[in-house]
Amino acid sequence: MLIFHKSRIRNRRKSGFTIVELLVATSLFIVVVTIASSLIIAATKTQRVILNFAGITQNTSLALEGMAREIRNTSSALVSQSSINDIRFKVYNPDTGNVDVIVYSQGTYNGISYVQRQVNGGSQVFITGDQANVTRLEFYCIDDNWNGTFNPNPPFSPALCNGRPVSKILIFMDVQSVGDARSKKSFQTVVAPRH
Amino acid sequence: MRENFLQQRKGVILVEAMVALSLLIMAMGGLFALNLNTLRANNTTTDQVIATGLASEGIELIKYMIEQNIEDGLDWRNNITSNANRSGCFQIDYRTNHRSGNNPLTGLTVAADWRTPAPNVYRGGNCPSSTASNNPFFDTTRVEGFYQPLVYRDPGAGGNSPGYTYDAAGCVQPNCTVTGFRRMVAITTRGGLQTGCISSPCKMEITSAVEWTAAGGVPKYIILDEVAFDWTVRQCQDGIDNDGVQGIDLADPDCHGNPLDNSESR
Repeated sequence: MLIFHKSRIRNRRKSGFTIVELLVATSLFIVVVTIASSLIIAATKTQRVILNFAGITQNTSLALEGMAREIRNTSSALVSQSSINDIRFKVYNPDTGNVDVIVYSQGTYNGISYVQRQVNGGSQVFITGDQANVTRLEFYCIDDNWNGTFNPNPPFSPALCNGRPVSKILIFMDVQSVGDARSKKSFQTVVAPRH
Repeated sequence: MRENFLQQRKGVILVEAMVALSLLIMAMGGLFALNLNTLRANNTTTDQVIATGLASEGIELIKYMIEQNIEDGLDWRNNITSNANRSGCFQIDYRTNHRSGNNPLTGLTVAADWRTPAPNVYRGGNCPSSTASNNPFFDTTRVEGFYQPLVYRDPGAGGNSPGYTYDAAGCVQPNCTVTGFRRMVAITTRGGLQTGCISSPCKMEITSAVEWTAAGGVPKYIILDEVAFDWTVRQCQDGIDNDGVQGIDLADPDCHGNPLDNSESR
């Protein structure tokens, strides 16, 4: 009887502690897992945003730099356009001794827009990668008679480059990471082709 | 003994768990902060690309003004620096066109303190913030008090002055934002002792700097430098008998054997 009594008390106490322990442990575990997983999710999200920004930066700086350098080396009378979204110009190629016709425009593939470059009517080559969605690529040829108004549709103002000497070419480029419109960044530069 | 041990043990488990939990949170917090910092740094890098585009725009606009002046047969410094040894600070945007009279010099504002520069200040000449250092943005407060921020208008929304300009009139969200970018174009003219220089000055140092405030209130800037020269073709080197007597270029004794002489007339 005495022995039974002792063992009953011990057993009951032991099982009671186990439940409390279990409850405490479970709730702590849940708290820890919730915090840890939310931090991991947030960190992964941030990581993705970081990679997207890096993609935008690299692609834009390459495209903008490349376009500006080539346009600067053309003669301003050799620039033409079919709309504000493309630009065509002639550049002397020291390797061949010929004059190359270069076209920059906006191309779309699988729902992503790219800056594309074409030489002498050959195939279009994307000069931006698929981390950067180029949602805007516009060229405005500003000449000395421009009256200060803008109209991106016909009749264009400033008028499209049509072999007339232009003083400066204004480039607008909006870039965002794929599927994230909030990451949109707007870039702009001006290039004056040499006369 | 057994009961005491179990009770003690329970307490230890709780404390242990709490310590572990807080350690974990601290460790994760550090990692998270690192991530946020990288995000910030990346944002700054993207802003740097925007600022570089804007700074190079400043240089292109001044260089184009020089080309226009030379083509029009004007002094190459016309409308850029008014006096031989003067330098200046400018706010200039793509709307500026000083040749046609359309949009005459919009956005090109001669600095209010247009003074004779200190002779040996390399960058910025008399720019308001460059007095203490070669860095034109040495004094951020002065920069922000002096230069207008560029305004960004969404080109897709229609209307004039799209993109980054100084046209702040009627600028309201969401299609127009006053950005944190401030651009300074500083011109310092040099001359007198340059080889082949007949007019003083014949060399122009153009500094285009864009300043903005990055996350955490850290001022950032991009500075681009360019040197422009006077490439005006002189009368004594243009292959034309300008005064109609005594021969072409150096054959005319009025050129005194100097191809940079700008007068074939006596």
